[in-house]
Amino acid sequence: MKVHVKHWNAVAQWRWNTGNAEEDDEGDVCGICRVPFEGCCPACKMPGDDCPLIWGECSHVFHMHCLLKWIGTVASKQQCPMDRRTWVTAERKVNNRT
Amino acid sequence: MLGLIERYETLIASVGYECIEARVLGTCAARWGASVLGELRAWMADRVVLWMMLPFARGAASVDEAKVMMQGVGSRYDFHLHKTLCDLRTQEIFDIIVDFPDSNAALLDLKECLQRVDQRAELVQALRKFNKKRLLHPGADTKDILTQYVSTIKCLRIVDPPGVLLFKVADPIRRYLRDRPDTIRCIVASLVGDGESGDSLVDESEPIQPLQQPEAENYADPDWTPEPNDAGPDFRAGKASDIVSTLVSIYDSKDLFVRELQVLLAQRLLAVRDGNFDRERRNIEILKIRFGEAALQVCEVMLRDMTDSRRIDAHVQSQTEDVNVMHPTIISRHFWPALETSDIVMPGQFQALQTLYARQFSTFKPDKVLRWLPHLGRVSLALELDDRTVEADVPPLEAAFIELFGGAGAGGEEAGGGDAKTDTDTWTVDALIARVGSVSRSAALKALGTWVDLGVLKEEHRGGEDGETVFRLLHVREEGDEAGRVHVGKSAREAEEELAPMMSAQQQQAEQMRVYWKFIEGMLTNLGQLPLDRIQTMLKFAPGYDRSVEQLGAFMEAARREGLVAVRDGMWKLGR
Repeated sequence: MKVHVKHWNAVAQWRWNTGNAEEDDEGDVCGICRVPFEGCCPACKMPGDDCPLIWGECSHVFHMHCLLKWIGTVASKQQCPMDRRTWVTAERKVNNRT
Repeated sequence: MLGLIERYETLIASVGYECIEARVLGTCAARWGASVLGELRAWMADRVVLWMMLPFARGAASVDEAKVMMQGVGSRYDFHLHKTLCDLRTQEIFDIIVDFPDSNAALLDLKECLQRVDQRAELVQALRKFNKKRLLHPGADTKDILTQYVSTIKCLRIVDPPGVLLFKVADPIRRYLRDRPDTIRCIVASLVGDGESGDSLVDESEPIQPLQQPEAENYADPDWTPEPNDAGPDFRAGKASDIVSTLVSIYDSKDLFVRELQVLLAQRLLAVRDGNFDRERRNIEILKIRFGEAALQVCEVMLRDMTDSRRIDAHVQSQTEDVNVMHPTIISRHFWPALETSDIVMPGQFQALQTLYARQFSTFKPDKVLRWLPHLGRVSLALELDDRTVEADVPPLEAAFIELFGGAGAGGEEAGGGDAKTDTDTWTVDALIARVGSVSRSAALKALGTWVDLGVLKEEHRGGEDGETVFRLLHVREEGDEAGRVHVGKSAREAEEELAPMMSAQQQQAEQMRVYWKFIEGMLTNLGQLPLDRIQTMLKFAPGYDRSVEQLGAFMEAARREGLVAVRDGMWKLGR
């Protein structure tokens, strides 16, 4: 017998590829707003491309909007909120994003 | 002469009353289509008044004089006429409401009668009694109850515009509806205008407006009137609010509705095959007006996921030919209702398709990856067998099974070839489950049943009495009652259609409660026994806990029935 697939209406979820490949099923949350990465930052309404992530060289990941807001404050001293190192956006991921 | 009249007045009156009653019951019973009050009055003037002239207005010189003489007794007769009609309509009120709007005239009559005869309390009592007996019992469909409730609202608004009667009658209905598990679902389904269910609860003509909140009374309003004097203590002076607001207000919060709506929308969107979800979009736009934009933000994301999926698919298809049969819906988790999870491993070519598509996706969106929900969706298959081709449109689990029968990943390829019985022609249920991953036995049997119904597989018993059941692939059609099979197959698939992949809001609640159970278990282990309100106070520290004490109590009661906890003198402790 041969099985031919004519049409497949599959269903999938998208996830951010945050680097830690097989994270637990709950997924990670943004260290600033505590909303899951696949959700959106408090200022946004649409998740995904409209509310992208930002990768730091220190390997920490945040919602881009959250981090830019933090960096914009004086108190931040341009540091990563997690480890207090100077924030440097990781180039690899940025190039890929539109 | 006068002495005689006084002496026999009661007798004359009872004859007159009987005559009126006979007339009213004879001509008006179950006649709700036309107003009967005018007709009855004309009859009174023609017949009864003439008859009354004899005893009461004998010797009157003129018409005016006769009128004066009959004034007292005449108004008593008139009152009796109204009272009789009022009694009759009160007894018929339930059926009048069922017949609404055809029974409009009868309601107007009733309204007029009630103004003359003060029998509002009787009407309320009668209607409550009828509702209890005929409507609020397990045999009635929730949809019917809702329909009758809506009709009741409309009818009693005609009879009593301030809404005092309605408030008193509606209360038991609302309380009953609140206890029914599928009320929200019914209301939501009618809100989005279920095409199949025919008449919707909501009038198409009724303008769509935002939900109304009960307003505080404005005493500065020059038209302010006090509440009617028979209003109950917690009567809310309902401004004539629309039907939907009334229905939604059965529950304390509209969140429940939004959640149920989300589940319903998810079911519909995932069922859409042809990429046409204009109807869903339209419904959401309408509901946005009612519930407010913010509440339906989640639905907005779901709709956007659908359009995005289509765009992504178009791109992926333009990149490669290899996946041209696969058209996935890519959803944003957190924005869809909790989908039941499953760890089916799709075998053979299905897995290959998944991997290919996921790779293409990650090339298109480099910082995203796909996680498949393999148990959702639908597969269209053509099975090429030795003597026939079977086409089928099945859920993924069925597809996975038949792929295994087809020899996918069976260690080696079909060794014997041809009509020799290869390893992959017969499978036991357990072997299939082991290959596919975590599916329940009943689900597996159901999936196999689909193929048996289609005449592709056959269930056989092997060995002696303790022999196991195996399923064998029929390369060549076997003779049998084909007609019956086709029929069964169809109904089985219809049943499948109804099986929702989403957890209902209720299930979700139970799921959440399971998390809190861990907390409860912990505190009872540490502290021995606790009263219910202590548990509630401590649970309030848990993130996202929003249950009331009553809900917690119900949950604990359920846990007690399962033997997890025990209660004594209001103190709860672990049962073991």
